Amino acid sequence: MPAGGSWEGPRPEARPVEVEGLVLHGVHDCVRALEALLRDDLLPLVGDSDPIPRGSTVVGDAAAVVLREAAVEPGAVFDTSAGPIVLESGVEVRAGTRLEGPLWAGANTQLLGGPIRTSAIGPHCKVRGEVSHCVFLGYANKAHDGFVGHSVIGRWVNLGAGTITSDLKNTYGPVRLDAAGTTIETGLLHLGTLLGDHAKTAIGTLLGTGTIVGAGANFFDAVRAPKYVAPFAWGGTGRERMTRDGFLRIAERVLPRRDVPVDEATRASLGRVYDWCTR
Amino acid sequence: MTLTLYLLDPDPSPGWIPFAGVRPLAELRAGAHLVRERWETFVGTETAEIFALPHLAGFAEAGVPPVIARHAVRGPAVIAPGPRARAAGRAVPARLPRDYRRLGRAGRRLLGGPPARGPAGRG
Repeated sequence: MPAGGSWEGPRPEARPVEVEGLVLHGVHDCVRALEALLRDDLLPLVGDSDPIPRGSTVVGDAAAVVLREAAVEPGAVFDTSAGPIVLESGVEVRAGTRLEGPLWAGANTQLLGGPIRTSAIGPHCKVRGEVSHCVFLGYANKAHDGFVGHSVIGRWVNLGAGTITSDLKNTYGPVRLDAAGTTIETGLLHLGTLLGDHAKTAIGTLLGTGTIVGAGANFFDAVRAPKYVAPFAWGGTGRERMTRDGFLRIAERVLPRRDVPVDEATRASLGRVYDWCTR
Repeated sequence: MTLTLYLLDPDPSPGWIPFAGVRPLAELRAGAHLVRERWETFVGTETAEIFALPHLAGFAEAGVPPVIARHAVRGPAVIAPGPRARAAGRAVPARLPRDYRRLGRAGRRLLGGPPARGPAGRG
């Protein structure tokens, strides 16, 4: 919009402007974007790295490992055959972790073991493999074993030990989503689970191909989750919902563990999200 | 000319479940960067405001620009459709040094042209 012009909202008669890029049609396209963008996002960061600590094993080009004040225990493996690995400030890598690029881990994320590949893991996450083609928005825990692939993990998600996703149908057909009753044909061969902010799964939860777990849902008491778990669902029956106060109480316990204070503005903001999702 | 950047979240269609109405959709991650960061890199400035559903106004998360219900703005400005990732952002996160151009592939332009040819939104 030029100087002096005014804009009040999208106008159907507006002249379209072509922009080279990728259009996201929904949350599942964040998984598609990993394939399309992640490697190219990381390539420009190569060349500006701390030394690789002794005791690390590099498969592929060592120059494609980018450490920015990351702490790496001896025994970590970096495989850059398919793309760079970039670990931001404060990232910790424990012995026994096999990192496979393209991979990006945001500040203060802890990579606790197992194979972790082709993922963009936001700040302050705890992740243990096997993880493949996942997007973490940040402040999420997947601290134990269990395969999670081609999935989007929202903020403050906690995956209980042994939570496992399927990201490929036995028919090798395209994955379909059930978004609150609306069927979405993603066209993706590989798609795991989309977990909204603050969603939590119990130990041993099985998430089928193309599952959606709504924000704030607390899934337990059933091993296999349905294709769609409503926001703020409580348990595995699909009938119960956690209370607003209950949700806020959990948030007040969880966020400060990562040094995020829950002030009045945060409470109000979370409360409005609860109200909107459960309206 | 100093541009102001606004990000316009789409309407909360089922495709954006489970994040529709939960967080600004411009705060989703596409590749290594948030959608917002990709637009900021492309336009060359930080986001002034994210236009989202009214109940998300005041969205309280560190690092997220002010979230507010859509309102009229005056130019010069770029109003970018939030959850669309731009290929130009592939190689240009905002925190990179300003000589990122040399990092691009030969002959490939990493930043868009002047603002008039940029992602001027639908306005």
